[in-house]
Amino acid sequence: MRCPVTLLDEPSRSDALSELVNIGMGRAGDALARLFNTFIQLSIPRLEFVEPARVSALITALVGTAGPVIAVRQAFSSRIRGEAIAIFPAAGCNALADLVGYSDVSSDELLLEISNILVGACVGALASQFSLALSFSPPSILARAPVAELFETGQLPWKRALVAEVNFRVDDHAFCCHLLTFWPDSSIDVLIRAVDAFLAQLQG
Amino acid sequence: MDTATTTLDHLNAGVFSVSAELLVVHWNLFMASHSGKSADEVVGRDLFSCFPELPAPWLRWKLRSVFLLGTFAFSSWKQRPYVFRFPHNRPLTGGIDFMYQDLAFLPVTASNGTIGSVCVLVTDATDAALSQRALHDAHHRLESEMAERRRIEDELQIAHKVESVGQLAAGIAHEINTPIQYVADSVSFIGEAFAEMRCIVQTYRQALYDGTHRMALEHNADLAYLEQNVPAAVDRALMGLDRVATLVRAMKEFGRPSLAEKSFADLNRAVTTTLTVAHSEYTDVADIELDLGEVPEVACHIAELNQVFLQLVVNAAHAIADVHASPARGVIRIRTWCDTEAVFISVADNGGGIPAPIRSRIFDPFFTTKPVGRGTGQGLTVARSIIVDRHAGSLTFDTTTGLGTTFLVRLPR
Repeated sequence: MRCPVTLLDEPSRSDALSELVNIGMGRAGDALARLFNTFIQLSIPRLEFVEPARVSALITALVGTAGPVIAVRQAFSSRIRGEAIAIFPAAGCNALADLVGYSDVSSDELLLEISNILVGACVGALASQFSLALSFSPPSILARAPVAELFETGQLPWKRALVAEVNFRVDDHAFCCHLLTFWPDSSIDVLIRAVDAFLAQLQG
Repeated sequence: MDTATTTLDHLNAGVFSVSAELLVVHWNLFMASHSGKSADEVVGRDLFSCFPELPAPWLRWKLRSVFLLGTFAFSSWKQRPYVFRFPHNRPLTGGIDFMYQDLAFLPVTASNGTIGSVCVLVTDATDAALSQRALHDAHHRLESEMAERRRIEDELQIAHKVESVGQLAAGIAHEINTPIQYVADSVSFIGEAFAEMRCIVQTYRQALYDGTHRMALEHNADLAYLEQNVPAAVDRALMGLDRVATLVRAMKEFGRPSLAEKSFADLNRAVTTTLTVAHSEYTDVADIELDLGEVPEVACHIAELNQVFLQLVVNAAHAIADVHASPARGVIRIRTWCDTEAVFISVADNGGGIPAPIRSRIFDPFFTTKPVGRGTGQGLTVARSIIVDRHAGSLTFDTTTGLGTTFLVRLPR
């Protein structure tokens, strides 16, 4: 895992953050497997800092394509606020229709359902590592567009954000989805303090 | 009743909760009043036996996911307009079947740290849904109207092109008729000359046979005249045929159907083609001064640009005819040049200029100062649409009363 630049000067802090993210994602994977009743493969999470001008290039690199995708966004808030973006292939996630327990479902509803579950499981598990109780807003479809057109980079209201990326594969289904969790600069300090509190707890 | 319960009862939203066994734990006043079933009738009972009309597989999945993951879940009216069959808030104005609903499923942690129940918040989204539906309908209507407008514009453009070609037809017929006339005269003269020459050849053959002297015949046939004028007649016939061929070629180029895709074309050639086709339109009133610079080929719809150049030349000729009484003639100056970003074509006349009161209206549809039969008022409207909308260029003019008008076409390279 690549460590965020500002955390490098405190190796114990960046190690702790990486470990917490790993544990959180592991728990999320376990919960998702129980929900879907099938094995979910989660990649090792990647952490990066990004500026608005570089966000499209970073997503392209993380997702591995500049082509058209479907992106679903969902906000979360507590002492830290951020937004998670689930990026699906252009074909959507109809391949997962048989994993949800009901058949009368449209493509859009399935996208929103799967996104909400992934975001809730992963971001929720991560927040619980920091003892943060998160509140989520409803998911919505951000865009159906090439990766470079997902954001209007000139209008992003932050200077720098911490991005955690993890991708999911579902056994026996030709399906892959990337989940990117963005913490804009206003939340990074809170995140660092939460890591420090976690370290202090360990040392105490 | 505790304060929290009272508060929940006063919310203008439905709030209820269910246990892991899907038994109703709480049921607020909103839910009671809209479902017609009070808390006493529902609490402690299975949710689905109380409301058999609920979409059970979907709702069970939602609740299970919240119990299992301990996270929020949502449902939007956009994907699932209503979950509960609640009456809507428009008993008078109507227009919908049931109340549109947004649902949020919130995990409620028990004292032992597990998810003890799921609280469901039901929000009335009817007004937002109807507003969005109205917006969607308006957007759809607007798109249909825009498509219709584009279709009419396309038809108008085609109609104008047909009209231009129609206007030119009489002039073109005259243009072709003149060379055809002297081709016919020349060929007729060559035919007569050939008959005389044949007669002389016959006579010479006879003279060779009987040895007589027949010089007088040559005098009668005026051989010197024939030797001088037959080649000239052949030249005239060829010249006439060349002129007809040029006209036909220009007409063919000018009338070429417009392609969907742009292609690179030589604008200087387009100008000369247009002048050939429009010859009869200006030849009686104006001389042409051409100053064609070196310009690069431009990606364009050349057939449409031909139409624009024709319109500008015809307008210039009309402007000159209005002020220069025959036999006085005016001048139409056509110039092409370029810079690093664009190619320019200017068409200038020394007519009377455009009167100040109508300058702002000359590109308006159906605006014309010409008498009936001479113009429909579509020429400059279509020309500007071709230059601005189809080529991202500009069509402007500079005019001085009494001195004339210059139209300037700018086409990006």
